[in-house]
Amino acid sequence: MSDAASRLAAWLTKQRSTPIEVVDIAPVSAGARRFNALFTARSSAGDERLALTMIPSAAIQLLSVADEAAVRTLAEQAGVPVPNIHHVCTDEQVLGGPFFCSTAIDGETVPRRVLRLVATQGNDLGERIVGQLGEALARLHAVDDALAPDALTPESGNPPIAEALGQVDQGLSDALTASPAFAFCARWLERTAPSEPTTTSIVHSDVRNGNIIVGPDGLRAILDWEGSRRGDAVEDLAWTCQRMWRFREDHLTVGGLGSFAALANAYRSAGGTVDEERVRWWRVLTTVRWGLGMAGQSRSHLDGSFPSIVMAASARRMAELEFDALQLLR
Amino acid sequence: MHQPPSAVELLRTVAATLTDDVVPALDGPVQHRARVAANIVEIVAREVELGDSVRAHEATLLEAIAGSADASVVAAALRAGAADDPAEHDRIRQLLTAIVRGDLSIAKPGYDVWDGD
Repeated sequence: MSDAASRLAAWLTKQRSTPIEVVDIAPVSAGARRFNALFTARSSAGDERLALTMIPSAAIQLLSVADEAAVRTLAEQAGVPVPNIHHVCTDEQVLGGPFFCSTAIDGETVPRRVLRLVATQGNDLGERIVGQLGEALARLHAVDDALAPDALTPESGNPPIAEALGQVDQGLSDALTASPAFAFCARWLERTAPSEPTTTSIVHSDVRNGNIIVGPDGLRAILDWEGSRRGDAVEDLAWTCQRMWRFREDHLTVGGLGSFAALANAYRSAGGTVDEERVRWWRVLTTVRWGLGMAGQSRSHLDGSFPSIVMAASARRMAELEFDALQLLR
Repeated sequence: MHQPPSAVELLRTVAATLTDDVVPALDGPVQHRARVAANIVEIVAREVELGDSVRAHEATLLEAIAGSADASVVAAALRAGAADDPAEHDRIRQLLTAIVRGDLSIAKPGYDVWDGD
């Protein structure tokens, strides 16, 4: 890491045209897709805490770091809490992969620690965070998505509902053994599919407990924008409700933090529209798609494209999503 | 014929060793992988123990859905609309839930206590 720190320091020195030292660098999480670390950029002007997000290989990135930065800037301008990006580097030679540096924000990100903070504060902090998420999503979804990079449009060019149904269909075809439960759900999704949204929005696609920074004062930032795309705004509301993000606090629909009503009310107050039938459809869709994604992860292990014990274990988790989807179809 | 411990007992011992001794001695991504490994061993132990009876029950339930014990045949029938009728939707949803409960008894016991908000 010290080698990487000195290369980062040299790069920052060139960007800022003033000598920068990189100190106190520490990894904060090592996701499968991204490497995150906090560090201090030291210069004659003083110390600045920054967060480094590096994609180990451009080959596995969803959005390029430049496109992700562009989306985050649009969100930030719309009043969504997002750590400000200071530098973007697309040159893979510097650190071994594209990266960006953003403002480091204090607070909890690990889901169980987020839930512990909420439990110890006790003053409706969870409902407040959920309301802030609703407001943030309404602001994001109100951004004119024509301003976003072209890369946010799905490759197929399909509108959001057709795109999502196509992904489910593909997931079922790719699965190595048949899933009667998901076949049942897929049929329901097809015959009850809502109309395509009249306008598309920038959809974050992974807003959940685990991708937010919170403190005793509430929501501080929404993280991990690499899955952003043009889509149906409702998808973001539905995804926050996944049972998987509740971490056993099953009675609190949104991330084990608060109620769906708190999310919907704040979303409406900030100018958004909530159609509960559409939300339900997207909840089923995203549950099925995620379950099929679990099977896909295990295939990546089996075919050697991503050998990993975590990926190997994923397929045994599909039953959880099958159960959740069937419960949503009661 | 092996003397005991049985395969299941050995697997449970491996899982306990991983959880009690190995995981606490590690940190970071390797600790996470060790935790996943312990969980996999527990799943496999339950699969050795319960797999045959779960699969046999599953075959009965599949038969009751669409007259075949072959999951791919049943899946194809459901995709083609075999559960479109509201009464069938409900009946089949319950049978499918019973199948999934069987899988969860191996993969994640206790997960099936939720009624969908």
